[in-house]
Amino acid sequence: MTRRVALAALAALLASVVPGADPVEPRHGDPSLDLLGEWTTTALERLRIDGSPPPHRVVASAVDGVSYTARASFGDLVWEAPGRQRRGSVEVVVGADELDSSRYYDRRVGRWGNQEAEPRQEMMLAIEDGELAFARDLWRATDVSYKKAVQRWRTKVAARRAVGGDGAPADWSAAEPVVAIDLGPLRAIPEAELRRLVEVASSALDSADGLDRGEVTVNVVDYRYYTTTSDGTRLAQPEGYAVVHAFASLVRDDGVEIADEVQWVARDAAGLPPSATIVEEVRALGRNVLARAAAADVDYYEGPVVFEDRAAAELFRYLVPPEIMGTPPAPEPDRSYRSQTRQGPRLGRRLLPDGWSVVDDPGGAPGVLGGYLYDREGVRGERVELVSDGFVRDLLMTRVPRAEKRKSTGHARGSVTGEWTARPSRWRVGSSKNLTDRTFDREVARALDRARTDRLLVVRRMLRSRPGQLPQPSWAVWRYADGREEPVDVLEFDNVDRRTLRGIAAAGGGELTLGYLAPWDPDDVPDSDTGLPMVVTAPRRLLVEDMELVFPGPDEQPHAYPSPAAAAARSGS
Amino acid sequence: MPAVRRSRPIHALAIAGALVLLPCSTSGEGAPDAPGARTLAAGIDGPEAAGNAPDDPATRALAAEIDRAMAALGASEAPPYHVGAELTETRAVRIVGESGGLHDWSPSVRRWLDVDVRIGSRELDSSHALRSGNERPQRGGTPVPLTDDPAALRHVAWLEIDERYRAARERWAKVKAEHEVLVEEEPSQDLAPVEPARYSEPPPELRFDARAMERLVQRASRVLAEEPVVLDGAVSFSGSAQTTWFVSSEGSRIRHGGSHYRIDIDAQTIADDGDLLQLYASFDAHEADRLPPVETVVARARELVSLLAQLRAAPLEEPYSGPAILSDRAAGVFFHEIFGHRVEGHRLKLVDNAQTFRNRVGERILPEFLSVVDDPTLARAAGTDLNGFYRFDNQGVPAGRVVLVEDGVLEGFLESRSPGGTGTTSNGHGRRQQGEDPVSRQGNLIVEASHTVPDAELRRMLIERARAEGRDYALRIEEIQGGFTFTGRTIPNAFNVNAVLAWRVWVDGRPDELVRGVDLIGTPLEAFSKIVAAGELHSVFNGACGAESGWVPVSGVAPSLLLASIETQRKQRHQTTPPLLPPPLARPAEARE
Repeated sequence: MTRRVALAALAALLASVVPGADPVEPRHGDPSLDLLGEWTTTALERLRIDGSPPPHRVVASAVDGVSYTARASFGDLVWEAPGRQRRGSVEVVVGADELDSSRYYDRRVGRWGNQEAEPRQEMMLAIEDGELAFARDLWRATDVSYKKAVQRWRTKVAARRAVGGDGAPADWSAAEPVVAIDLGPLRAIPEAELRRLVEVASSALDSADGLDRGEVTVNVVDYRYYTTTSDGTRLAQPEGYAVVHAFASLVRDDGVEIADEVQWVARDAAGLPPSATIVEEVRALGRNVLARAAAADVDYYEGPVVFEDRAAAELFRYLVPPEIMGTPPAPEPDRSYRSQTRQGPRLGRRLLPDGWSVVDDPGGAPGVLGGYLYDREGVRGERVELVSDGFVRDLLMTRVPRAEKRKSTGHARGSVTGEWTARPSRWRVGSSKNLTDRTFDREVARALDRARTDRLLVVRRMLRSRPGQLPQPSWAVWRYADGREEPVDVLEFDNVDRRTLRGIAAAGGGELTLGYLAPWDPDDVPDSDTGLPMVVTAPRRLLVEDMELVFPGPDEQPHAYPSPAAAAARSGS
Repeated sequence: MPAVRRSRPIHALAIAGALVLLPCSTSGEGAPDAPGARTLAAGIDGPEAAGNAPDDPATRALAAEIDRAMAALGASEAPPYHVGAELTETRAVRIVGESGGLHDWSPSVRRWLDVDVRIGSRELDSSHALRSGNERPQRGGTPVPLTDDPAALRHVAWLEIDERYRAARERWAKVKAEHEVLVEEEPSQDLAPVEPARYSEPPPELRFDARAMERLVQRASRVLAEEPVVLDGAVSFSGSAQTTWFVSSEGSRIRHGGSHYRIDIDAQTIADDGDLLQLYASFDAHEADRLPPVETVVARARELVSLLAQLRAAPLEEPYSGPAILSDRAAGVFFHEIFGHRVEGHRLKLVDNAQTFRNRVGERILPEFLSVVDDPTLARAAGTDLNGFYRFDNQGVPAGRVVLVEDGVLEGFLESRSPGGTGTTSNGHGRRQQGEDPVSRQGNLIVEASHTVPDAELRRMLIERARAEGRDYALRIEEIQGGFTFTGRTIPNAFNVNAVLAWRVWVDGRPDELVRGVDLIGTPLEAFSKIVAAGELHSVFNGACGAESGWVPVSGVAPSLLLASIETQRKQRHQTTPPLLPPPLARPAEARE
C-alpha cells in the first residue's frame, strides 16, 4: 500500500469516527501518537466527578511493533509464534506533585491480582490501523484509571496523615515537556533464518550424548514506543532487541541436576553473532554439561575466586544495580518513608574498592542495545557518574524523587504496562588498575599462596538469579598453580551480598561488554528470552580474595531407567 | 539427523490468501480426506481405517518407549502395570475483532504429550484418591517437537514416562499407607479393564477462509461500537484441528482427530446502578463452511445490542419463588449443571462428595416423561453441530452413548476407567484438558421428553399456575451462563446458576418484561421434583465445562421445561459507575455496508 493510499484510508477511517474526544492539537502524522495525545489532553480537561479532585496529570504509552519467537529442541522445532504487538497503558493521576494518587497500595490486603493497586490501566490495542477501536480502548482506560486514582488518592492522603511527618519527599518532580518523534520503519525480522538458527543450533546438542534437555530459543521484537503526557510531551522512539538463549541439562545418577545456559542479546537480529559462532558455543555448552556431570563432588570451598569473561560482567550485573537504583519504594499505609528506605541504596556508601567507578549513559542513541534518547517519563537520559573511587556518589532517578535526590536523571524504564523505576541502561564498571593478563595471573598466584591452597575456583558463566544474589556457576573450573584445569560439577555461592564487591582484589584482561535482558520487575529472576535490554562493560577478569561456595545436594530423584539413546549404547545397537 | 517433513511455516498463515489450509506436521499414512468428507453422524463409523491400528512415526515411537519402560521397570521394586500415552497435535487460529478493528490474529501449531503411569493393581493403584488431604495437584505433560524423527519423539516420551513413573512411585507409597489404616468406603477398580482399541483416521485439516473471517469479525464487531449502550464488545473466530495419538501398554493403538470452528460475540454494558451486564452468542461447527454467513452474525450482534439496551433499562427482580419456564438454552445448561455433574461416576468414589445419586439406580429421580442420555458420538442435533462430539475419550476408550435416566428412572452413570457407579468399566467418558488427569465428564447431554406440549401451551400452563397461586406474573428463564453447584458433604448441596436473560410473564396479558439480577438457587432433588411439563422445541447449547480435569468441550440439548416452582435470589452486582464521557462511536451506515 502506498503512503498516499494509506493516508486516504486513514482519512476515511477518521471520517467514520464520531469522536468522544475533541482534537486539541495538530497531528503528528502517526495515528497511534495522535490518538494517545488527544486522549491524554481530553482526559485532563474533561474527566470530572463532582466533589472529587480533577486529573492532575495523564500519561499514555503504547508499543506498536512486530515480534517473532521460536524454540527448537535437539534440532527439531517445538513451536514458533510470529506476532503483531500493540499494547498500551494509561495512568491518570489526581492530587498535586507534592502528594498525588500514584504509587500507593496496601500490602496488607495483597497487591498482585488487586486491580485497584495497579498503577496503570492496561490496554490490548487493535493490531490494525483502525482509529475507532484504538479510541474506544483509550476512552475506557482513561475512565477506569481516573476513577481508581480518585479512590487511591483519598486513601493515600488519609494514610499519610496517619503516619505523620516523616520527611517523605514530594511524589513527583518537574521536567520540561519534549517532542521527539522518530517514525522510522520497523526493522524486518528474518523469520525463516531465525527458525533455521534455532534448529541448527539446538542440533549441536545431542540427547544421545546423555543430555536430558537441549533447547535453543530465539525472540526478536522491534517496535515504536509512544509516550504522551498531558503537559505536552510527545515521544515516538524505536526500541527492540533480539535474543538467543541456549539451555542444556541432565540429571546425574545421584539426582544432581547439571545445567548450563547462555544468552546472546543484540539490538536486532542482524546484530546477533554469526550462526556458526552460536552453533559452536552451543556445542561447547553441551560439552560443558557432560564434563561437569563426570566431575567429582566438592562439599565446600572457601578461598579466592576468579571471574572471567561473562561471569565477570555478571558479578556486577547482579550485585551493583540494587545499590544505584534510586526510586524509593511505593508508599505503604503503615510504614514511614524512613522505614521504607533504610535498606535501599545510600549515597556515600563504599561499594567497590578504591579506584573503581560506575557510570551509566543511555547514550542518546536509540539504535543501540539498551540506549535511548528519552526515558519512559519523557526525560532525556543523562550520563550519571554513580560510583567514584569506590563510593556511591549519585543514583539513577525517575521523576519520583527521594529525600536526598529530587531530580530525574532520565532512567525511568520498564514495560509499557508495568511499573517504571530507575534502571541502568548502558553502564560501565571500571577500575583505575586494569592489569595485563600476566600481571593479573601473578596476583592470582599470590592469592593462592595467601590462601595456602593449590587450586582456586574460576567461574566463567552463571545461571540466573534475583538482583542482590549471585547465581549458581554453570561453567566453572578448578585451576591449579601449574595451569591445569578440571571441571566443577555444582557449587553455590554462600554469604554473598554487596559487600562481596569490596573484596575484589584485582581486575585485568581488558574489558568485556555484555548485553543482557534484565527482569521487567527489578526484584525478579530474569527471564531467558524477554526483558529490559541493558549493556554492561566491565573488566574481563576479576579476582575476589575470599568467597564461600557449597555443594547444594541432589535436586530430585535420579532417572528410574536410562534414556533410549543410553539404552541403545549399552546394548550396542 | 534424519530428514523429516516439517509443518508449513505457521507465519505463512498470517499473510495467507483467501483460503487457509494448514497441513498436519506428521505424514501418517495416506492423504487426508477432503474437508467435509468425514462422516459426522452418530456412531464412530466414518473412517475407512476403523479397526486398523495406525502405523506412523508417532505411534511407533510411543509404543516403543512404552514397551521399553514396561520392560526396564518391570523388575523394579515398584513395577508399573500400566502405561498410557496421549500425544495431541493442535493447529489453531484465533482472530479477534473489536470496534471494527482486528485485535488479535494468532496462528499456532503445538504438540503436547500426556502420560499415565500406574503402579499397583487395577483394584488399587497409585492414582487412587488420597484422603489425608493437602495433596498438591500436579500438572503433567510436556511440549513435543513438531517432527517425525523417532529418536526425538522417543526421547521426549522417555523423559515424561520417567517423570510420571517417579511421581507414581512416591504416590503409591502414600496410597498403600492410607489403605492400611483407613476404611475404604467405596471399593472399586482404579483402572477397569477395557478391550484395547485399534483405530486410525487421517489427520484433519484446518481449513477456512481467512480473509472472510477477518471481514466477519471486523464487520460484526463494528456493529457493537455503533450504539452508546455497549461498553465493551468483541467478535472472535477460532478454528482448530486436532490429531490425537493414543498408545497403551494394553495394546491400544489409536489415531483420531477432529476440527472445530467457533464464532463468539461478547458484549457488555453497565446500568446506571453499576450493574455490569454481559451477553454472549456463539456459533459452533465441525467444518468452517457450516458457520453462518456474515449477515447472520451481524444480525445476531445487532440483536445482542438491542437486548443489552433493554437489559440496561430493565428492573431488578426481587427474590422470587414460584412457577417458571426454562426455555431455549437455559434448560440444557440447567441440566448440565444441576444433573450432569451429579452423574459423573468418579464423584461417587470421593468420600467427601455428597454422592446424590449413589444407590439410587432403579429409582425414579425425574418425572416419568423425562429421559436423559449422554451421547458423545452424536455430531449434530437440531441442526446444530455439537461441541461434545468425540470418537475416543482421553483414556483411549471409544465414546459411548449412556442412558442415564429412562422414563424418570436412574439407569447409570458416566464412567471413566475408574468407575464409581454401578458399572464395572468405562463407557468412554474419561476426559481432560491437556496436562490434567482424566475423570468422568459429560459430552453431549441430551434431555428427551416422551410427552411434550407445544411451547405456546407450556406458556399457557405457566400463566395458569401463576394465576392459580394469585401471582401477577411468573418467570421465564431464557439464558443461563455459569454458576456453581456444591457437591461436597460439609456444606448444603445447593446450586446457584446465573440467569442472564429472565422475563416476567404477566398473567394479565401484558408483553413479557425483561428483568435483571436473577440467580436461580435451590437443591437438586427438590428442583427435579418440580419439573411438570416439557415443550416440543429442543435447544442446543455449546460451551466448555471446567471441572477437576480442566476444561472440556460440552453440549446440552433439552426441551423447554415448566417447573412448578423455582427460587431466585439477588445476583451479585458490580458497583462501578458508568463512563464519564460518551464513547467514540461507529457510524451505523458504515457498519451496514
